[in-house]
Amino acid sequence: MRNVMIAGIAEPVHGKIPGVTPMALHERLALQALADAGLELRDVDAILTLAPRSDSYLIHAAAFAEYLGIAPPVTLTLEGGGAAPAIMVDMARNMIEGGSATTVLIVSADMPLSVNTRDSYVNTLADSGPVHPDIERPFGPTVPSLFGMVARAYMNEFGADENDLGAVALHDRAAAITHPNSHMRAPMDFAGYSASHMIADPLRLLDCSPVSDGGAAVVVTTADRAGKGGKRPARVIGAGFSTTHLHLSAATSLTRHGAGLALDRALSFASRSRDDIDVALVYDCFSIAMLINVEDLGFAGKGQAGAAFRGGEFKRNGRLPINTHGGLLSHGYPGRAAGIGNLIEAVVQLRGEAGARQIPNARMTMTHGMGGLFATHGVLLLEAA
Amino acid sequence: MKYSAPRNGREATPHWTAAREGRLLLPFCVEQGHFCWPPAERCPTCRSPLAWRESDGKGAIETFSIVRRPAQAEWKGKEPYIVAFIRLDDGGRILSNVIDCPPQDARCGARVVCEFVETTNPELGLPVFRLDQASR
Repeated sequence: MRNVMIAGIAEPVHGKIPGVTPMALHERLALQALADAGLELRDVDAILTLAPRSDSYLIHAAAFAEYLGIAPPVTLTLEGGGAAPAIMVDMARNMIEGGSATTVLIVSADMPLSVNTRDSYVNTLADSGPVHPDIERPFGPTVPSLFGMVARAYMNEFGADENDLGAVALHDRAAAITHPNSHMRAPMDFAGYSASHMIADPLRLLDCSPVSDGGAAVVVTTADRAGKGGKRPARVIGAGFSTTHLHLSAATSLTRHGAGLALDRALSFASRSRDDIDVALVYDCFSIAMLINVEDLGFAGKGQAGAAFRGGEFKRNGRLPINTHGGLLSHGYPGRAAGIGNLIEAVVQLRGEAGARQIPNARMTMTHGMGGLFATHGVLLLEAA
Repeated sequence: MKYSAPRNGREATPHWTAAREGRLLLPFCVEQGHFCWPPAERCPTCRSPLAWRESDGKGAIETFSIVRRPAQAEWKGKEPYIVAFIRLDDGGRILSNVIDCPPQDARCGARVVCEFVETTNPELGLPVFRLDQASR
């Protein structure tokens, strides 16, 4: 795993992206990422995409190749929930190391805000998202209410309260304010947080991700092809995954899940330790997801993540900077593409291009994604080349 | 409101047809008694076959949330309502509703009893729960 690089990236300003179709957004991101890598469309011999909820095709990646007017040997659209970015980069690594591709174009973008509406997108998630169609759906659970049940169990077990949840929302917003691509950039204080209305007790509006148009493109290639655009490549040094269930009804615990298992596997693959991580990008579709994932990843003791956020331990100048881009909660939640923003920030930090949010001397970054109700986890470890 | 019927002909069909008859039937594996939910052909833990056991329907709220913004069409206008994990005294844990319960009265550990509701499929029912007045 020493020869595979992330050579190009592209990310739009998240929020409402008017005047563009989902395919046109995919194309724009792909061309920007290839230019960033100093490569051309004709260099691409594999395309990996997710199926946007806003745009449906039998094989989305093949439809995208058709749209671009190229004929790469491999076009593959996969399902991986929020763990998909890590899965796609690891698949690209496998294809490159196995010899079936040299340059893999990954595009993950969705436009749930412009093509659908926020409400219709939320309804879609409740009908075909992580809600079990038979044993859960008839009782009317929404996705926020399933995370709300986890939050209630967490608060009950550890004596946590809205100060812990709110600390996550404030942390992400403070980071997002410094990021030009973030969806939610209005300053937030605790009074504003606690005044936001309940969506699914104990979760308030500001405990939930916004619905955003957005996503990103990533070019993965060999070391000898990387860096042609003058940008510093990021080496893919480790990947690790875990699957413990899909639906919350089948989870063996409500408050302890598999993020740490995925990180352990990635660290073992890369022969690195947690202490080597300079910046961590953690999947945080809801504030409670951040608390539990940060603890399961081993960055705080169980029940102690809220206090750590309140104490500034995960701020830019803290002991471990987390979600320097604002996370899903404030950088944005672009539907199916949710989570690829973490990967982009992991590369930007290694390049030293993060501007006001740059972590000095960031050498190794960790990006985490989660599918379902804490069900599947994907972790990537990247190092500055 | 009639509840939306689950898809008939699935692994949990015995649970729903029993609910239509007013009985709470839950799946456990025959060898080690693992609760298997959602039910499968075999126990996901030990691979032994499943058998259906009748529960007396008494239990407690393990955790819950109050839905203020419903998503599914049939739930619009019914908010606020409570979704909860119910832990049954005689084994098992299922997601359901706590009905006729003011949001401020719901709490983890509260005792509940089972009752049954009809669905849009006349052959299938569902178990829901209400606070147990006897233990309040």
